[in-house]
Amino acid sequence: MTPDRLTVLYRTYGPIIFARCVRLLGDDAAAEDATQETFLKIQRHLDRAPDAREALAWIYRIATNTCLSELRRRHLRPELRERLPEPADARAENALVDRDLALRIILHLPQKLQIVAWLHWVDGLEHTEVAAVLGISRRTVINRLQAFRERARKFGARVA
Amino acid sequence: MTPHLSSLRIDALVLGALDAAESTAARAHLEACPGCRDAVAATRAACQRFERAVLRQRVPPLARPRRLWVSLLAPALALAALVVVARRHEPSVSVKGGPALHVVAKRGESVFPVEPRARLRAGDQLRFAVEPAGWTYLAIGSIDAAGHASIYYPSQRLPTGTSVTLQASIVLDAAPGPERICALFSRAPLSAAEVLHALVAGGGTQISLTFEKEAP
Repeated sequence: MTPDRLTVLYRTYGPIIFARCVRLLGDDAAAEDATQETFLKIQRHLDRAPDAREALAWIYRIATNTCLSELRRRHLRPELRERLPEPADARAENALVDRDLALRIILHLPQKLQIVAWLHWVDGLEHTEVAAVLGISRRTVINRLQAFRERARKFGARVA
Repeated sequence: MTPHLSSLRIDALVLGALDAAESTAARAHLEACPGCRDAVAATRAACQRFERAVLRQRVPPLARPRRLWVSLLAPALALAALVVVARRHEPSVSVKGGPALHVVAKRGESVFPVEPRARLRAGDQLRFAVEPAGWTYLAIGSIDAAGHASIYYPSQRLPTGTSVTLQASIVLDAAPGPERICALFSRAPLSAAEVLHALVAGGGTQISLTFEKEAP
């Protein structure tokens, strides 16, 4: 265990990870628990922690998986109180519907697809950003999003 | 307008982790997009809440999440009642000639001192007072039935006085089973890791009190 490294990571990234968990889980108490859980996992894999710029992506992945686990546990549909666009026109309205639909089905699909779908459709990350966070290739991201679409269609859902 | 900022980009912006070109582009988008501006503001606000509520308590990321709340906003009346009770009673635990720990619980309107093996409930609010007996730094933590250690009160210098009532209080969570509260006294500040180690492994000058927690 290297408490100093962990403390530095916690002080640097704790607040932003908490903010992320609030966004996914919808309340401070659950977010605080998820943040602690995230850093417990980080502590277990501290030897793998990347430096500086890549650290945010790495911690982001752990936090996102932690929150998705919590959402699966709760069987709750998360609220996106801050990020839903205003449906100013038909196109935006469709995007809103699609996003809402994506949220409903994301939690019912295999975990490997969940996080890719979440980062792309809910968090709005581009393919390259998703690839960086997950440490996979952009091609793999595209393939998993395609697999997600196919699964979603089986649900009879419409995902753009 | 350029595409909305992704959550990752917003977080990196708030963290100051974008390079100059990315930061300029993100700020240009924010000029034109109230939705993303709101998202940035919400992210900053959440960061500040965490810094105020958690980082300043110096609670380390080593304890399992517990639904224990450190409340710094106990109503003044409750605080006064607790202080009176704490001073009227014998210490909950003490070391002969050494420091003493008073633990006082508030349940609804009733306030009572906590004795060893007391039966407490989820929702009970606990406050602490100590008689330092010359020790200058104090940390308080707990170990639950599963062996998980948590810090309630990070190692801090005590104000002078023969009896000191701590400002922080905790509200017990619903996890059942026995729980041990430890007051750890020292002559120099201890890091969170040192406090946790002492809680788990024993050692140092510490006094502890074990209570049972009943299901709500």
